[in-house]
Amino acid sequence: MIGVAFVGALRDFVRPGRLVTWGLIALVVGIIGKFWVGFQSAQPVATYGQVMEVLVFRVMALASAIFSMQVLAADIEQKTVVYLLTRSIDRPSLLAGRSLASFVTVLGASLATWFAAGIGVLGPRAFQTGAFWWDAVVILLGVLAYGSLFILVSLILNKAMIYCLLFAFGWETFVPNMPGDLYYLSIFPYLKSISGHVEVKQETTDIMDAVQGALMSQGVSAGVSWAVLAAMMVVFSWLGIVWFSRSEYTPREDVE
Amino acid sequence: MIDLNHVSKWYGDVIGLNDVQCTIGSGVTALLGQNGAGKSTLMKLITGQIRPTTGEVRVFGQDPFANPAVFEKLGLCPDIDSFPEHLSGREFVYRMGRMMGYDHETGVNRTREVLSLVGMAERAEKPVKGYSKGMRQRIKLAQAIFHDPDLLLLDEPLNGLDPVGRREFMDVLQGLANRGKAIIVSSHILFEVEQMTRSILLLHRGRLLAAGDVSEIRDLIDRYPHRVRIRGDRPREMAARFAGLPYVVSVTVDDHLSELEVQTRQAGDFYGVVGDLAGEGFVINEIESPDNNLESVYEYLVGAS
Repeated sequence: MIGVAFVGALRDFVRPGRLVTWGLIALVVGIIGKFWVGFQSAQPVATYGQVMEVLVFRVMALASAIFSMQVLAADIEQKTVVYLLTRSIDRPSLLAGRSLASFVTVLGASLATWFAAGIGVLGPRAFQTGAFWWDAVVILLGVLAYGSLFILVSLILNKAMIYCLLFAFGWETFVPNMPGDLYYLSIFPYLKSISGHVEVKQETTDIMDAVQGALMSQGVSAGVSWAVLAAMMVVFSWLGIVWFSRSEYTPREDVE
Repeated sequence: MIDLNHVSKWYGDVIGLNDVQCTIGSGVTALLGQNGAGKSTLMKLITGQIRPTTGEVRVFGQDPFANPAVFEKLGLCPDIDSFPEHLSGREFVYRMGRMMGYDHETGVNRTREVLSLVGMAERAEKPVKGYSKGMRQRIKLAQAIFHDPDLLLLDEPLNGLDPVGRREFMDVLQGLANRGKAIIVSSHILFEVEQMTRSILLLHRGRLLAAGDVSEIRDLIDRYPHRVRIRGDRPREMAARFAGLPYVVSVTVDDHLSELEVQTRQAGDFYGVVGDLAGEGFVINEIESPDNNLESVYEYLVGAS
């Protein structure tokens, strides 16, 4: 039954209009990357890392926020969740199938952006660059980490999209730059650590360092990052299933 | 089939259902009550969407909350008007059917059967967003009966259906009831449920006020005049015809508005006469009932209890 839930949701998520939209976003990232490397032509691999962290990881977070809402939150808001909750499919399977469809869709959108960024910045040399291929693995991790978190949030909170976008673009941008240990509570530093991108050599810091979370010199080791992200996915997924299995999803106006 | 044992449901400080105890078996049972009476809450409890705050709900001997074993034998036609609008009616019904555990081939065949049964076979290819209210109701019924459930719950199913659609809808329901299915229909209109069943549960402000034969409610209602306002071309002539009817209590004519207001004790018979007048060439532009005479019955029952 997970397969039925997966296929049904995936067919909704990859409608032609959406494919075109995410294709265009990838294209724009590729074009920006092409111009970007023109300003730092001596450091193409470092520039590629910069484009990944500044643009591709953000697109991935954005796609995760959007498609995580489509897993169930959109149906809850539109009340169509009643059709899903009265099928002879148990709730954990329903959530697992639809979450999987969301992960696959976000992965597709993110990989398209990653590919465009690689080609835009490095050109055909991307295929001979180890960092380029390694980023595909990092993206898979990011999709699962952001996805499991955002799906959990969408099951617990109304208007979850707002919180997820604030997290993706606010928290994830500013917290890694703040002094102290708060950056442990974000996902971006772990992805950055595992990706191991070469830093751009420059005299002073600029806005890109802020977006890259590189204003402070703190960081976590790759080993810790793997462990934290893996734990995050397991815990968030488990919490999501437990919460969804036990909660009532009554349209808001019925409660008032 | 369904047992409710001292069931109450609170939404924060608001009570949705108050200490309801009843058993519902096979055949058609109507849940009758005004908006906010607790009909939808009761439907949600039976269909396992929500849990009771106190008391116990049993459907086929099991707790229905998030219970797929119950959903295999239960079909729900909800009162919402929401759909995945981009899907066609056929695709929607097919997908809902697949999630009941049917394989692709069975799903396709069964979709064709149920769409034909609800009169949507020819119109099911269009996206749901272009459907009329009546077509949406039919699609909701199709997904509810897809898996041939033993228990069918219909929340305000006749909303938006034209008279022909209502007749067809009721025929489908009657056919299902004749096959031994248990059907629960909620409505706030007595005339509707009278045409479907004799067995009713009367809810008011979350309480189960009465359970039993509809004729008992009908007797109560007939003690209270039912107001009907008619707008047409010859109000005085119509008034003269109505004044001769034994069950008409009063007739008031407003020449300025070309309308008359009638108070009658037997609304069903009265509407029949209105139909006869239309057949005789009277132009009737509008008929409305400004009050809901169920309120009078509720007041009576609450006062008596």
